[in-house]
Amino acid sequence: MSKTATLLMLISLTLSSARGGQVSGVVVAAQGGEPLASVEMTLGSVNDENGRQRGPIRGMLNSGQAVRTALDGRFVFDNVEPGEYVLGATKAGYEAGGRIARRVVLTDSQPTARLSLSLRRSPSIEGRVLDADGDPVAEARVELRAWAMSETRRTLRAVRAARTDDRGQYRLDSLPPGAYYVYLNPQTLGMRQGGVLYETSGVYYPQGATPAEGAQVRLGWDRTLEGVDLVAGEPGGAVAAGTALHEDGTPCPECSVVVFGVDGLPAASTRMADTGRFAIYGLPSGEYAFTARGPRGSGLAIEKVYLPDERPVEMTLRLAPGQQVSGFVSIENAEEDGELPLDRATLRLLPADPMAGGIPTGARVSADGTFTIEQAPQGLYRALAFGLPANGYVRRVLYGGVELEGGMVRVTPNGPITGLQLVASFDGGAVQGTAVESKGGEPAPPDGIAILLPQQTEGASDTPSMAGYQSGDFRFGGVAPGEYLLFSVPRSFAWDWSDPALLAELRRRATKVKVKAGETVTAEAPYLPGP
Amino acid sequence: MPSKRAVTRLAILGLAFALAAPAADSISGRVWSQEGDQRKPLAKALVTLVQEGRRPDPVMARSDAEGKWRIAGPLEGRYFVSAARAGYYVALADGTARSSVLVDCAATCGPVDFELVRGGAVNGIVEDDQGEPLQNVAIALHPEGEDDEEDSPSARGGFGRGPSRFGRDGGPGRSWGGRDDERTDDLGRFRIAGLQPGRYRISADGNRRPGAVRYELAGAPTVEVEAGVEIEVRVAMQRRVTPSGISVSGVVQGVDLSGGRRMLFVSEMRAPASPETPRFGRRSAPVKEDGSFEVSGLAPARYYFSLYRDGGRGPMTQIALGPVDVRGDMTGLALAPAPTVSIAGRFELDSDGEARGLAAQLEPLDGSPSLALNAGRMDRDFAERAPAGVFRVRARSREWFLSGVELNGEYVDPERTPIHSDTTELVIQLSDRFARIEGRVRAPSPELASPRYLVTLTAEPPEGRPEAQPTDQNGGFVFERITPGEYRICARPYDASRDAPCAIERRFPVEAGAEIELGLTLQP
Repeated sequence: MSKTATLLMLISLTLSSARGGQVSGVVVAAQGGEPLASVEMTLGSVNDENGRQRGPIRGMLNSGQAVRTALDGRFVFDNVEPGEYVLGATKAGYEAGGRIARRVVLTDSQPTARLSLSLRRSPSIEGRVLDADGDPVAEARVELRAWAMSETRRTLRAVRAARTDDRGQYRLDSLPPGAYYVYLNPQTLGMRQGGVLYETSGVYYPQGATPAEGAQVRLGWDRTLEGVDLVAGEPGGAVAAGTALHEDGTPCPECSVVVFGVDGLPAASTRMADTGRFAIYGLPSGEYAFTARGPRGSGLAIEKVYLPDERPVEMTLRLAPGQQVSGFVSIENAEEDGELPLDRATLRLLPADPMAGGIPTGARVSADGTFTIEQAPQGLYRALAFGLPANGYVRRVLYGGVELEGGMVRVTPNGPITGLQLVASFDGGAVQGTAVESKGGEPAPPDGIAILLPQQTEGASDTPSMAGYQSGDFRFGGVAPGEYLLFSVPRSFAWDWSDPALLAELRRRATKVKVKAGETVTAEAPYLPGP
Repeated sequence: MPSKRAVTRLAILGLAFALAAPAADSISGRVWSQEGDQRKPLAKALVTLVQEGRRPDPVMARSDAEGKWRIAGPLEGRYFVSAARAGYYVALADGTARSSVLVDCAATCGPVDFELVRGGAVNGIVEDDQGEPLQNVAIALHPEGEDDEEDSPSARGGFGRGPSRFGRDGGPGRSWGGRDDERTDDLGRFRIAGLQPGRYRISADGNRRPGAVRYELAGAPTVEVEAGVEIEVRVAMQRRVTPSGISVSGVVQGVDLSGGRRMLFVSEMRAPASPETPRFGRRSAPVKEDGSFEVSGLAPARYYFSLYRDGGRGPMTQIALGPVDVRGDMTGLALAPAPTVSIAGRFELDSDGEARGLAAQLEPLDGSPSLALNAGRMDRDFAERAPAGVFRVRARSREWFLSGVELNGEYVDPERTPIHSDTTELVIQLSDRFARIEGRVRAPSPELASPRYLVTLTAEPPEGRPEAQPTDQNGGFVFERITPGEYRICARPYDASRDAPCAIERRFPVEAGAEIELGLTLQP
């Protein structure tokens, strides 16, 4: 190397050390490529002073002011010390209101970084809500609903909601791509003493009373659906009234009533009059489960009722006391007289079917593995254990020596449940790895969620596990042996795991992982930004 | 003639309230619409009845095609009665915005008539100084001449329904006009309708937007509203800029500056009592071998100057130079090492475990830079030098946390540890008895699936960054390694802004080694 080159390198190193580095770049729209102005940029260190991973980056550097892009989409961070950073970009109306992030590494030898980022326009939905006369309906609540998996069942949940203005117009914006139903909530009038009157019925766009009768709307990036108009339905003709009573037969004015339809979704709710009476007018005729809950979980009543049109139905909801549920957690292949590692374990009973009642409940597991839930309200539950050691999972649930399918336990008013057995295994595997853009590709954007979707497992769990990550590294512990699909998604997502088209896509793009007992699998989680 | 359905409902009404108090009465009236000189019945207006002094538990009725409405009794005591329809305001004789009427049903209970007038509407777009739309800006219209500090309505007239319209006594609440919380959408758009004629001042609050860039209104925009007329406005906001631009140059003296890297760090002095406040105006600049430096871009403030140097090898060491009031450009500033005292002592750990890397920070309360104390490799002792002062002692790692501070044989407040002279007996006590908090966010009804929530745990008073955990599929969350103290826990919908109000919030104490279970049930 010549003396001149050495001198130039030294000067360069000196300057870079003195001035610090620079992170700069441009932000453009993913569709069209035009520069985006006023994008808020953040640059934060990945690791803190102790080498630990930081949380979401909200910091700002040097100037003390957050950086945003100029009209030409350009941004600059000056005087950046060498290190590993996460560069974030957010803009209203883009990336579902979230942040996209890129990893940036500055070193003494490479003190500058120049990046080009593209933001995707978030989908949105606009429309009007009219009544049967064609007049606008103001203050109507329009929900965007999507299927979601809970520990116990697949259910619809509201992802976003908006209210109509005085012209009946609504807009749902900054949405994550996904498959949705647009749902118009029924409108009610409050009535005296525990009564509720439905003025309209709920409508799934375009005109369905149920999700099956509605149309699923698929939204991708950069798509605005206009004219998603809804007409408020006529209220139904069913009328139900009744009384909620305590176990001893006295009225229960402090009870609350929730009514569920056959789809498992709440159809109506009301408080009680001072007399313990309630009345609900305007439900569509059909089969419902009327539940009354006592104060502070003091009991549950459930009544399945068919409501015809125009003929009032009277009912009595008498609270049934909860039943004691007791049992033990056993460990497969545990050493005799060995200490059970259950000091942090908790048993949970989670309702599996709203039509069958149930209120979430649980109890600590003692050091000897036993548990007792004193008051479990009647209902159908899934029994789950939390707080097991990192390699632990529940392999099966037994009652009276019989394996309960899916770990489902039915609590009835007839008597306590004793001897419920959860068989735990501590040979669970682990899955760890890094989120990547695609298999064998570049690291995925930071700040996402890794998902492990069971295909065939030996354990009782068949719901996806999720692990959030900041810089891309994730780990799942206590994974039951079996086959899984592994992938990663942005923090904002609304996917229906049971959608056959999505599952086919996942099978094609996700990493297939086979977990064996006690083994740790290292794998890449391909990043799926949206359907 | 009532329909079959209506008859059915009346019949069941009797069925439902057979046990209710006797002496049923009713209240009724009509709703009129005033358009020019014509007065017409107004259908589909919402009439609301709230008993005075009771929690807002409104009873409602709609006006029919003839503008008539009726609410069945029994009615005892006094009631607030109001009428509303989207896009209209209530015309009251006294010109007030309180669109409810207090009716004493002990004497006579109605009829109560309302007159509604189609109001003006303001459609607007909020933009930043680059012409880009600003989302989630809270917009309100204030009638000109009204005192901003009072609970004046955000707009006269307007529409809306729901408990937020009512105060604690059941009377009209604070947000009486427009929508309670009018916010711009992703296109920067907003609409406020049902306005009484008049001139309004527009206020825009961008502080609850997510993100770090702050905006403020450019100027003082106003709008003139006419009844029944729609107007379009553009509201300009500008970036709030911290004043900056002061340059300071001078020389560092009394330090061996030969070889290696030399950097001057200038940090604004803020008391550590406000750790969440970002430190504005932090700057750095190189120092030449002759000691000269120039640092620019400072805002007027008091700064602490420190020198970092490595002498050509090894880690950078910090040399405190002292505080300087910077109010304008300065030249020829002479800086020398500040007088220091010896701070020596040891770490004590309340368990037998082998702890490595024991360390603590001494944060001077005057806002000058912190001093790091590190245990030696072979023992748990430390020895450093720093300017005398009052310090806040901080120590925290994955393995331990600060449990007490002893100075010269006496316990002292870790928040205010005075070190004014050389000391060899500073004992920093550490503990590994972390607490654990496990909980679950529950849906208001057992059958509703728990949506995803982000649960944040914040020490009270706030200390550092709050911990945040997303709930799992069952609404469960766990916080490990929690230090003793008072805490506030807050659950927000996962996608909500971090500035959004908590869906549920709890405050509770945490003791060393505690295992706490929390059930957070959302309100329906």
